[in-house]
Parts: sequence; C-alpha cells; structure tokens
Amino acid sequence: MPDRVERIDDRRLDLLLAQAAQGVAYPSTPALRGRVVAALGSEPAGRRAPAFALPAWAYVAVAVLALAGALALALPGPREAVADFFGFVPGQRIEVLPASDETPSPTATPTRTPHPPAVIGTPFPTASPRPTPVARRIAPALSAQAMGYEPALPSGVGEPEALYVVRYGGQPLLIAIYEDFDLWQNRGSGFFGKGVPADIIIEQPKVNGRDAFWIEPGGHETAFFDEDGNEVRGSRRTVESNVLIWRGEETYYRIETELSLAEALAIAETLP
Amino acid sequence: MYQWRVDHVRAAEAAEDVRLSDEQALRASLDGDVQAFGVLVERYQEVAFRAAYLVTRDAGAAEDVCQEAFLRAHGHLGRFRLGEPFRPWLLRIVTNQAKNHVRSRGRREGLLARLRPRAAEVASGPEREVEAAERKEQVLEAMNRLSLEDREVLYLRHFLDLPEREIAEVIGKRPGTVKSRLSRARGRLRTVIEERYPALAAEEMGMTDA
Repeated sequence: MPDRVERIDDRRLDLLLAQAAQGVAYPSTPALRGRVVAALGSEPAGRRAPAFALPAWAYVAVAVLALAGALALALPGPREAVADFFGFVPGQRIEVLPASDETPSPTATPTRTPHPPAVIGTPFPTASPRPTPVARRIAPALSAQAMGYEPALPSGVGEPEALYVVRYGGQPLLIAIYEDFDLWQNRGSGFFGKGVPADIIIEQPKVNGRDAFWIEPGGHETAFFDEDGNEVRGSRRTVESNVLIWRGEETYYRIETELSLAEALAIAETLP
Repeated sequence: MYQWRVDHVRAAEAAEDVRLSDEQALRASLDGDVQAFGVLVERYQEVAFRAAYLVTRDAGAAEDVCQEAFLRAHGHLGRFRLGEPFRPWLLRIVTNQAKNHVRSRGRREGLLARLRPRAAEVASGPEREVEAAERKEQVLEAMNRLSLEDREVLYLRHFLDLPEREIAEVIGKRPGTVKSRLSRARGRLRTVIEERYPALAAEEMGMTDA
C-alpha cells in the first residue's frame, strides 16, 4: 500500500475516464431497423398512449391517500429513503422540491390543469394542515392496531424487511419495505396529485380486474392535496421509481419499484 | 450479386434517410408511416445500443433493451413534443429500460462480475497495452462501485459525450441538477479510486508500490 493516499485532480480524473471510455469494446450495433419496423407492422405511432393521454404536466390525480401522503414524501430507495425523509437515518436519495408557498409552476397546480384529473376512489375528505408526517417503525404484530384493520401483505415474496406507519392528515398509512419494492397501503381516502411530464409512460392495467395506474419511469413530481385542491405545503417531491397504484377490495395500495410492470402486477394480484 | 443488391438497397435507404429530418420522420411516423420511424431507428440505434450496453454490460440484453425502447418510443410518440430534440427523449427511454433491466436482473449479482476483463477488451500484446487495458478495467471496476445513478451520468457525459443540457433531458432533471450530480459522481469515483485503486492515482507521479 502506498504510504499516503494520492489525490486525483480533475485533469487526472478526466484522463482516466477518457481512457476508460476509449477502452470499451462495444459489440457491433445490431441492425434493429428491420426488426423494429417488422414488429410495428402497421401500428400507428402513439397508439400505446393511454386513453387519457396527458398534455405536458397535466395532472393525474389519483386517489390513494394512503400511499399518497407517505408516497408524497418518501422515495423508492427503501428503508433509507423512508427513514431518511422522516429524519431517522441520513440518506442521500430524498429530493424535496420547493414548497407550495413558493411560486408554483403553471402546470403544477391542479386548479390550473386544463383537464379534470382521473380519479380512483373518493377524494381526500379532510385537509392536512401539517406538512410533515411522523413515521415510526413498528413490529408486525402491532400493524393491525396501528392501522385499525389487519393489513394484507403480498404472498410469495417473503416477509418485509421493515414496516413503517406514517400519519398523514390524521390517517395512518402502512409502508412495507421489501428488497425490491415498497408497498404502501391505507383504507382512508385521499387525493394524490402527480405532475407527469409528457414523456412519462402511463399504462392502465388491471389488478384482479380493478383499474390501476402504472407510471414509469421515475422522475415525475408528486404532491399531496387537501380537499380544496390545495397542495399541502412541503409535500412535493420527485418519485424516482416506477409506480403501480390501485385500489383493492377495501384498501388502497401503491407499489414503488424498479421491477417491471409484469412483476409488479404479479405481486399486486396476491393482495385482496 | 446478392451482396450488391443489399448494398444498393442500403444506399437507397441511406439517401432517403438523409433527406428526412428528425421532425419530418416523426411527423410521418405519427401519420402511420412505420418506415419513417425506421429512419429514426437507423439513425439512433448506435447511440441507443451503446447507452444500453454501458448500463447492462451485456450485448444481448442491450439489444433487447434497445428494441423494446424503440417500440415504446413509437408507442408513445403521441407524447413527444415535436420540435424538441428526439435523441435525449429516446435515450431517456433507453437508459430507463436498461436500468430496469439491471435492477430486475438481480441486485446481488453485481456488475463487477460482468465487467471482468474480456478478451476483446484486454488485448494481449505489448506490455504497455496490457497495462493500459488493465488501467481501463480498474476505472470501470471503480465505476461499478458507484450507484447506478452515478454511473448513468458519468456514462452519458464521459462515454457518450453528451452535453449537460442533453443529459438533463435524458435523466429528466434540470441542467443545474446534472451539474451537481456529475460533480458528486466524480467525487465519489475519485474517492473509490483513491481508496481502492491507489496505483491509478499515483501512477503519473511514479508513486506505485511496485
């Protein structure tokens, strides 16, 4: 080992990166044109866009308070993210965007959207006066007591690594942290707004026959709104992972994950 | 004779491709002209494939990722704002597809194993070339110790030579965010190299242990 650590200046780092870049032996680029064109057949471009194709930064207001509040604040990068946001553990993936008392972007306010939001479920009944929820890790045995019902967890994926409960607007949300995804659930109602860029992919799959939203990739904005459509201060953030949102028999669910839609659906369909 | 015909067809396609701007090809695609979209595939398949390969480090996976990305791009052209540059929009889809692929492939697998020196990348021959290849490998190994997000911006900037404003469009962030993310990624790479590959840092000053 060297006696001391040598520091690398920018010039040296640039040189190393340039050499590494030149050293990558890219495989031959496959001829994709024919295959893509053949696969497309005569399908018109844009056909896969959802029926409610959104304009830039249009709003998809999706119910799911539960997830909503919490989601509104935590990131996909599981435990650290959740814990970090709520101030438990230092992390580096949380990105809280400007609070709503700052000048909002013209397209980031629901009241300005030219199209009514698509809503699943019922609107959030009570405004949330305080922007900062408090989450706490709980033992699985206490989850029913905390939520007021027996939370369902997906089968076939093992036990969650951790459970958190967060209260938003007085309503509890449960966050189950798994290795590959975070599952949020709640039985309250809510109003969850997302600022969705035009190039974000939104699908409307079914989960056990029920409507769902699949949004990918991450990078879209989300915020929590009170019953009057006012953005809850401090709730805006950027969601970095794919999101599946749906309502089960009695419960709102939300999965944040880097898994594919098919994989997320397989998990979702094990829930009631 | 067959080869000549193939070349002839390709030359004709290329001539046609050159005449179409991205926007014209996109408009035609939106009007149902699949061949026009093929022009865009031809035009951007190399950069798309390279971006996917850098993330996945697997030629087969990169090919699949690219094909799916082009199909998705076509399927979502309705959301593309005509007049905006197509390349960053496409690369955003490609890199996200590639990252999803890597993550679902198995987080424990580790990219390091897939970046072991390959015959094509570590040329045998003069010692200096071997050393240079090893140095490159070490930089790539160091990069593999970074998060996928850190690697992504480093690849886009230093391997694909994208300007920061285009990277911003690819990763969906503001240019200022790209600048700070790049800076942080470089800082973390610097730390990894200094701690784990000190020879890379000391080499120029002749400070290696050897």
